[in-house]
Amino acid sequence: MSVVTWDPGTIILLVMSGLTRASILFIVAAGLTLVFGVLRVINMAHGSLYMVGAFIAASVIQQVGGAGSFWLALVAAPMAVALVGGVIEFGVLRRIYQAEHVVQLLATYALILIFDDLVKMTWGAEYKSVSVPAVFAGSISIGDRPFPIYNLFVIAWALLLAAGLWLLIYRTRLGRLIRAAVEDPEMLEALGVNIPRIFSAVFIIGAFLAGLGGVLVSPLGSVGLGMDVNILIEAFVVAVIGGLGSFPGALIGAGIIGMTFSFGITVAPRMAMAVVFLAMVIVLIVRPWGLFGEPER
Amino acid sequence: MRGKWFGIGILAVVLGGLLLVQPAQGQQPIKIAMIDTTTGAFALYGLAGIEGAKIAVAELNAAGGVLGRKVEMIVRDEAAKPDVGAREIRDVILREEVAMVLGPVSSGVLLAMSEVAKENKTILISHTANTERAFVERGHRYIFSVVPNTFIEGSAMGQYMAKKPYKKYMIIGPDYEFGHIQAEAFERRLQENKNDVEIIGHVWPKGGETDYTSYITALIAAKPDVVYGNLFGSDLIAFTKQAKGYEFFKKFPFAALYDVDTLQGLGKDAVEGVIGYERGPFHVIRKLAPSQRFEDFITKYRAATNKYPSTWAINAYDGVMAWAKAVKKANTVDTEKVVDALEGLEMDSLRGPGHYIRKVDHQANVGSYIGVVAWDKNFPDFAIWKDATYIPGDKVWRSESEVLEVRAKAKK
Repeated sequence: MSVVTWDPGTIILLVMSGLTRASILFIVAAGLTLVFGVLRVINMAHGSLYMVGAFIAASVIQQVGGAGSFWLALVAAPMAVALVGGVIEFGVLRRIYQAEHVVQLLATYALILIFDDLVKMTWGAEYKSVSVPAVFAGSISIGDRPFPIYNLFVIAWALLLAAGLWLLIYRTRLGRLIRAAVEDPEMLEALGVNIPRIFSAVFIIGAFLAGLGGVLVSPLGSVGLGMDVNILIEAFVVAVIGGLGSFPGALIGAGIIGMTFSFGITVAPRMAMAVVFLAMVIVLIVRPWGLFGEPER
Repeated sequence: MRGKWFGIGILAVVLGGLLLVQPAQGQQPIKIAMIDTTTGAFALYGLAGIEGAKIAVAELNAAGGVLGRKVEMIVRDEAAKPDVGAREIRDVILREEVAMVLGPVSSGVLLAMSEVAKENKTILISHTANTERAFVERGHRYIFSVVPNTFIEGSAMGQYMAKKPYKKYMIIGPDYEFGHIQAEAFERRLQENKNDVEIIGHVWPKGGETDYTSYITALIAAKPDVVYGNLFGSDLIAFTKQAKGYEFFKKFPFAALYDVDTLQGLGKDAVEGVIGYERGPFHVIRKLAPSQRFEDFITKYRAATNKYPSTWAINAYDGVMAWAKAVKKANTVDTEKVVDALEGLEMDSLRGPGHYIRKVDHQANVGSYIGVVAWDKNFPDFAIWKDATYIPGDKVWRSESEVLEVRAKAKK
């Protein structure tokens, strides 16, 4: 069933829709992939951090109110989530770096359940509302079709973040250390670098990114329980396609998923989800380590 | 040797304990269980239902219990997973020996729990999950519904929308059991009542979808006269917010499950003028069927939760009360006799008088409330509806003969 007329306006709109989805996915998947690349831990609770970010943003906006509250939330919520991330790293992950992958999965999975309850106790089970900030409310015309301004803002943020992360990793001392930690943590430690501190820093950055994703997505949807698991699955697909641990991979993976969804839904609505997972299966068969990943050493 | 004695000691203590806690027969409370979603995305529905049921249990106990016995409610989480639901209901039946089970939230879980209820001959009353298949195709002696099923809900909207001038329909619904079969019922009644309508297409986002931009684009590109949706909750909130950015609501009339939960979640982002429908909005019930009993319920609910009761709370309350009335009528908690009493039972529903449970599919004739989303000065924080109507279940449900026909066909 396709009832769509393929004029240029529609195609541009579909591309822009795909980019919006890709942007959110990239921001969340980037944190997931960064943490895996350095810590070699698949953080199942990444989605929970994203959810906590959205809830904190909703609270800040509700408590402060007014035009500036969204911007305050955009700064405060990711930082608060980063702090939560620091506590998790110190309290849980640091104790299990040497453990089996299964143990790490179980521990971070347990965190999903704990956060579900903590969020419910703190904020309740009802949906919270975050509106699009006034400056970005409304739409602009793209090829005579209206397109939400806020989506452009989200896309811009993702691009900015991609550039910022690239600079961080390839142009700063911390970035050099992170790359070195990915390559050969033992050697780095032998050189007298404080590896645990780097691990903490990376996890905190990852948590920050999850929180940021949560804030950015909150005006686009509802803030409520369950948003953690939803994003986690898609972010995993993105990270796996791109290659766990690879930044360009997360970027390309997010792009592929975003576009597949956008066009897939329009061409074959019932198949879109299947196509996404099919893409993942094909990548896993051809390159089990993902498009930009490297085989496990 | 020490180990052996230790084991025997434990056994002795346990056996002694069993003797101690065995109270006199008749003094024992009647146990019922509530198995609902209390974690994850659907937790708000389950938790609201539990609060509503608690009020019913408290009222029963304050009035001396049922048949002179206190009612005790056990609460379990089915985590929105069919296997967990089946496990929990088996557990409360076999270990807690409950007289009745209320729940769950989602239709998939209901179908799984229903099999266990049937196998163990235990009454299961559904107050939220509403797939018609659970009561018609796979209906059995022990399952009851106090919530409008998907057929009633879809048909009521089909009947309502058929009076509108729209001809070309696009449909959007969550891609699971509920979304599909509710849309089917809608389309059938719409086309029966209006012969020049055309369903030009469907989009089926997965449940829990967060990004609707692509779906919205697809809807817009199809150029329909109207869009019918059975999205609800977080899905509908996300859809509404995102669709606003595409000026969707300026182009197309739209109808969906804008219930109290969803409108509260939307807050200032609610869109005035869209058509909403749901299973029991308190703000409509108190207008169409005003009663002191319902106002008391709202007061109690607000005292306990600081929130307005949603339809899930109202239905769960109705479910407990219907069961209690049947037990009193049968003058026993014996399942078979209570089932007989429930069949044809006149309910004391919070929705008002005239509600009963029919025998053929154990469905209460509860119906659908439909209105237009609008702001009201009494509710500054969230939008409610105006121009609301109620279509009772018996106006739109399948006739008894059709229920039997569908059932016979399913058996083949």
